[in-house]
Parts: sequence; C-alpha cells; structure tokens
Amino acid sequence: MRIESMHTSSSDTRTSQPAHTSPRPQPGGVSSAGIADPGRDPARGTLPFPRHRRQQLLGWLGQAGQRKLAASTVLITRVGGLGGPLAQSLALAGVGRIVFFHEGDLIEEDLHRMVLMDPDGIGQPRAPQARASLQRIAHPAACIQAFSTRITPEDAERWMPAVDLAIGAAPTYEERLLLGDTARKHGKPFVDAAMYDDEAQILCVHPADGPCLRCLVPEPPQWRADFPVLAAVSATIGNLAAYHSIRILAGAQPIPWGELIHMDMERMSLKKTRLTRSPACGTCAESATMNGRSR
Amino acid sequence: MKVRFALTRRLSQMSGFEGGEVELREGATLAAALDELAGRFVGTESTSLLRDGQLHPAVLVVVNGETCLPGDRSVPLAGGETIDLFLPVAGG
Repeated sequence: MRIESMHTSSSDTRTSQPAHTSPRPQPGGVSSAGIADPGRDPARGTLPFPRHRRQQLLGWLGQAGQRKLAASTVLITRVGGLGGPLAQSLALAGVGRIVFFHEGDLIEEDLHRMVLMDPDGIGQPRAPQARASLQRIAHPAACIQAFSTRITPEDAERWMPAVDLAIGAAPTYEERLLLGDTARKHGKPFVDAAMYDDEAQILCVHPADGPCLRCLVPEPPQWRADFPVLAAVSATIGNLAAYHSIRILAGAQPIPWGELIHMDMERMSLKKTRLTRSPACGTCAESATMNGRSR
Repeated sequence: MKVRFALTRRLSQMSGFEGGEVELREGATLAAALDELAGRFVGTESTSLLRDGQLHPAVLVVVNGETCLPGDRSVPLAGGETIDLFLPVAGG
C-alpha cells in the first residue's frame, strides 16, 4: 500500500517528507511518520493571509471565512479531470488540509484533462504527482495528504471524523456513494460532482437534514468506464463544486442543500431541482437511528 | 390530453428518445405516462433503463418542478404538464 504525504509549515516551507509505505497516517494527532494533525497546529487559522487578500474582499468570505478555510480539512475521492481542478481551487483558496485518494498509474490519455499530473510521469503513480502539483500552489502552511489507493469503507470510516467536508469526484458511483453514505452517518457535509459528455451534476448534501446521494441513486445505473470527457467540461464542473465547497467551509449562506444542480454545456442550460428524502433510503434510516432522530 | 417529456442528454442517448409531447388518455396518471414513455425506448442501451418494464429506480422523475418519490407513480395528471427525467451521471 503506497502512501504519499506532505506537510509544510511556515518554518519548513515546502520541504517534502519522503514517501513512506506504512502505516497510514491517522486523521487525528500525529502519525507514525510525524505528520501533525493540522487541526491541532497552533499556527493554523491564525496566520495573516496576504496572498488571499483579494478573495477576502468577497462579502461572504472575509477574514473570518478565510480563517475557517485555513482550519478546515477536506477529504476527496479522486483528483482526475474533475477532482483535479476542484482540489486546485481548494488549495488556491487556502484550505488547510486536503486529503485525497486516487489509485493507479498515469497513462497518456489522462493528460488531456488531469491538470495535476506531470506529462513526464507516465507510468508513475498519479497520487504523488497530484500532491506535488497541489503543494506547489498551496499556502506553505497547508497540508496535502495523498493515497495511491482507491478509498475503502475502512478508509472512509477512519477519516470522516476528522474532516469538515467530504467531496465525491470519482468516476464511479461506488466511491461516491461510499463517501456520501459515510458522511451522512458521521453528520458531515458532502458535495458530490460528476459529469458525462457535455452534461454534469452537483449535489450538496447537508450533514443531517434532507436527501442524501443514496436518495437520488438508490442503486447505480449502468455506466461506461470510458466515458466521453473534455477537460473544459470536467474542469468547469470541478470548479463549480469547489465554489460550493468553499462556501460550505467558510460558513456562507445560502447553500443549495438537497438541490440537484444539472448542467448541459452544449445547451447552456442549468437546472436546479429540489430533491426529497426517500423513505426507502437505507442510509438516511441508519443515520436517523444512529443519531436518535428522524428528519 | 398531452404532456411534455424532457430528458437529460445521457438519458436521451441511452433511450433513443429525444423527448417531446406525448398523447395520453384523459385522467391518466404518471404511471400511464411513464409506460407510454418506456414504450418509446429503442436500442440496446435502453434495456438497462428498465426493470420489469418500469423505469430504473435511479431515473429521477420531476413533474412541473415537483420531485416524485421513487416508486410513486400514482400522481394524477391534468394535461399540459412537463415531466423532466434525469439520469444521474458518472464520470470525471
């Protein structure tokens, strides 16, 4: 099992720790590799943010929102054509810790859309390449942690308590549903984003109330692994998902919780549909039982 | 009476049906409308959109902006409704 981790601080600016192989860094405290939990880093959330001054001019962000971003941890499944631009925008915005899972080695046909990959890295694992790209653009105090594996139920369970937001950017329903189910179970917000051809969708799932991804997709329909994709489409939807993610982390209002945002790029149409919680949804039922409430 | 179906791109590709107005008998419910729709599906990919002749549970049905719960096809129609159908996509 390969693990790639990176943590920089104002004192060890951009000094990469060597990749290590086991055990996995833990979400809380300090891992065996010495990777501090950024949530416990006294510098995090209190730094001056000269590089983020212009975005702090946004009324809904400001200095208070910026501090929240810096203190936030985000868990992403996949940083490819959609998740790559998404992670890029989160890193640029100053999110304090980005943790992602992305399995596999880079192949040439990834390069037309996976903006975090190195064209010289064909045949090499994708995750460290993405991590290196993110650490180049992230604030020096940011922590980027990358796993060269597909996220498992155990991974999701281990990390979810430590994250402020989970984001599904994988091309498979299975990974997105796994992350969505686990987020709902742990009462964490979840953003799901996907695309196919010229079409895309985003769903922001509230930590506890309203419908979840499983309400929308009770069972995955047939899908194609070799989906048609143009970087202009996957990056657009990735950045739109990043926008909502940043607003959630910053505590901005309103958030389109439970509304399916559907885009068709060719038709230039954007439609929002308010979903309803499915009474048959096992994820919502389990969450309600666990939390002793019914919504 | 007539209702209008609007299908998302991937759903149109898979079903072979572009959407548009469909004639129904007076007093028809959503169930009849969806049966009529399913009868228009053509091509090999369209079979994966059906389960025992019914739409796959992942197809989201929205009547005049109101989301229908999966399996609830008893919604009465008066004619003139727009029935939007979404198929969640996967890819990135």
